[in-house]
Amino acid sequence: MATMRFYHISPTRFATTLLLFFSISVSAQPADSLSQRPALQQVQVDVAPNYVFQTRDFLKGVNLKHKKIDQSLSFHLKYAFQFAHDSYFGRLYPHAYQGIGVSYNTFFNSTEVGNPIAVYVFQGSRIAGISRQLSLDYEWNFGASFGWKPYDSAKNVFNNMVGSKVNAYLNFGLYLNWHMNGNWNLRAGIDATHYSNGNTHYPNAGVNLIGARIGIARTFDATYLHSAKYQPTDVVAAEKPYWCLDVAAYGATRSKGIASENYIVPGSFGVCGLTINPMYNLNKYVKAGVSLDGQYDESANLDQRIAGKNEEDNSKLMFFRQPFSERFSVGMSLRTEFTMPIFSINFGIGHNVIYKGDDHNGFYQVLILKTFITRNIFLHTGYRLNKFHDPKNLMMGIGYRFTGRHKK
Amino acid sequence: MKNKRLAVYLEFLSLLTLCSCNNDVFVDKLKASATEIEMNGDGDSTTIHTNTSDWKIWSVEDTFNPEGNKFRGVAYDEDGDTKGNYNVEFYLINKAKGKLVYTGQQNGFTVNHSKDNAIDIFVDENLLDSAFKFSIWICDAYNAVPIHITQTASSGYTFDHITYQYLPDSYHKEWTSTSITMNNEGDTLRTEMSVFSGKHRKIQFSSDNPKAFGYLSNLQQVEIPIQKKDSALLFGNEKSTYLAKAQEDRLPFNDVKQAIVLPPGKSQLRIDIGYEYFDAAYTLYVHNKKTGLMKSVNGIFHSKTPSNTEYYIFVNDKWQR
Repeated sequence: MATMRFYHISPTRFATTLLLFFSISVSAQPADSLSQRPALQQVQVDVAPNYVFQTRDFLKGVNLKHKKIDQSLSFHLKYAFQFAHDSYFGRLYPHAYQGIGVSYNTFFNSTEVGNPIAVYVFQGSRIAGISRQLSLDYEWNFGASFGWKPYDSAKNVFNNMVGSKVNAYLNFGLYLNWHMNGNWNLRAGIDATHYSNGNTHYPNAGVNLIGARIGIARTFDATYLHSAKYQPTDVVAAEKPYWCLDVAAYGATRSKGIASENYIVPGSFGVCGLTINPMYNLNKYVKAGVSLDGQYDESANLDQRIAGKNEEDNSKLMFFRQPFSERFSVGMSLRTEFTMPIFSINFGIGHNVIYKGDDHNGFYQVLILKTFITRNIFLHTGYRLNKFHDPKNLMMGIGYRFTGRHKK
Repeated sequence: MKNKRLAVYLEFLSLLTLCSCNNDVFVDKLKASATEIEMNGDGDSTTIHTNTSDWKIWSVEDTFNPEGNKFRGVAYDEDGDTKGNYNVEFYLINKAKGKLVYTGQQNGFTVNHSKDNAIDIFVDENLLDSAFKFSIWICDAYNAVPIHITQTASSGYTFDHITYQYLPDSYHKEWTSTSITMNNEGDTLRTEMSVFSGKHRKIQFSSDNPKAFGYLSNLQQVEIPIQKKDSALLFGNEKSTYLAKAQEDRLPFNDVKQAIVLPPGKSQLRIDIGYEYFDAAYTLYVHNKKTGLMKSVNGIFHSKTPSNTEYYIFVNDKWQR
């Protein structure tokens, strides 16, 4: 019987892969043929004091310092660009900016938590203009954070919160953006942050923060943006609704715990999947549709297949291989997608229709970031939950968008 | 364009590196190619294949009464050596490579684990009136799989005839002495006593063939020799049940009444009787009900008969006859 050879992936490789995804996507952006101007460039520094949600005893003071871990502070340095106002994207999304950032984070307990460095991509835009110089903006960050001190049964026993040195970094904020003068902006607002490893390692309780963020941005050669001559053309009216079909394949690794045995299975299990997602373009920001989601999870229904203890190492459990029908599922989900230049955020909620075993039962949820590296090809970075609370797996892949619509 | 292709290529590479299989935590579940097997009552064989090679014969059991009705037999090692493994219990035997042979009176089996991925099962004729059911459990470190075997009853056998041949060397005599105390509360008493009252002829069939007594029902009557005369066996339409256990048969002569004199008071009465022993080699012929095929069974017929001429009676050690 032919067998496929797979490789176990380390957290570092996972993070490197993640970054590679985004570095490639930014560098591979298509040039906008309509634009006569170069993209606007921007540098921003932020400071963000945060409150740490007390979700674990470790955070409540059951740690070496016997002190609550309820505060964090992060410093961000970000580079962003905006499409030129006369470009296609510049006209369609005149306030959108996107780029790459790096942040230093401290929880004031470097011994047990570490001081992770996050490297991420981000995107923001205006929600509403308040006055000529003030607007309400949003911004999301997504990337990987390095340098966590994970749980270690010998060296870091209290940290039952983080299981890997590298964790995904997700952030969303709402800001007031004050245009101080031609090149300078001051941004301040609130944001929420989530760190977790996507269930690639246990423990994976995740770290959740909420707090404030203040930053100052310097835009280079931005004077025309604020000049009286600059009137973004509304190209939306020229856009007709259309259908598109996104087909994406993804893979990932995941950890698995056996609750009945209070046991974390060593190693990582492979996950891969295929989504076929037709969507209707409601407007320039929102698409909606349904998706057919097929997924193979090597660890699915493993708790029903316990063989016994390892002959040589009694502390290890061994498992019988599940039948393919218990590892594979096909579901249908409702999808909605928030569309911006380069990035689209897709959310779905669905239920498996072809499956076997409890692991595939119940509603599942997906949150996917699509990063378009060409007009049709996108990177697929997502996460899947089950029953709104059970972490399942990352969805790292690539997709293709079929559409009859052509760029104007 | 070249950069885009490179980007896509790198993305695919990245995707591949994210895939993994956690093979180290999985073991193959031991499976047998069949777990419910029906076998022919007149003797049969089959081979069961397994999906893995690292397994043992954990137990061979009576399907319905594993702990109560245990099979015993010869356990051969892989090289065919028994190393004293005769009459071992097959229940929870946990045997790796080798062979287990059970030979019952009415059935039997051989379970041979000589190949890595197969087990050979042979069954003898099932001489029971009903199906013979047994279970072979094979196991590895994580799993045990039962292979249930049901062997139908064989066609059965009918008695044909039996022959005997006297074994002269077997003939001998032994004396048996019986004493009783009698209390005569009156005067001297002249009376008669039955010398052979309660005495029987004892016979028994034996055979080295463990199935010798399985072919026929345990009610089957066969002709037996009455006694030995000179160097020949005498027959007289005397029949007995063909069984392995010892049986008491009626005496080949009438009881003898003997007059004795008992003095007043307690007396010791002693009767010494001479018994004749002889054996005869027998050959039992049976034929298959379905095929008519004749089968023979060899064995020894044992006879122990009191002599109606060689007996002595003593009252208080005084010979009276």
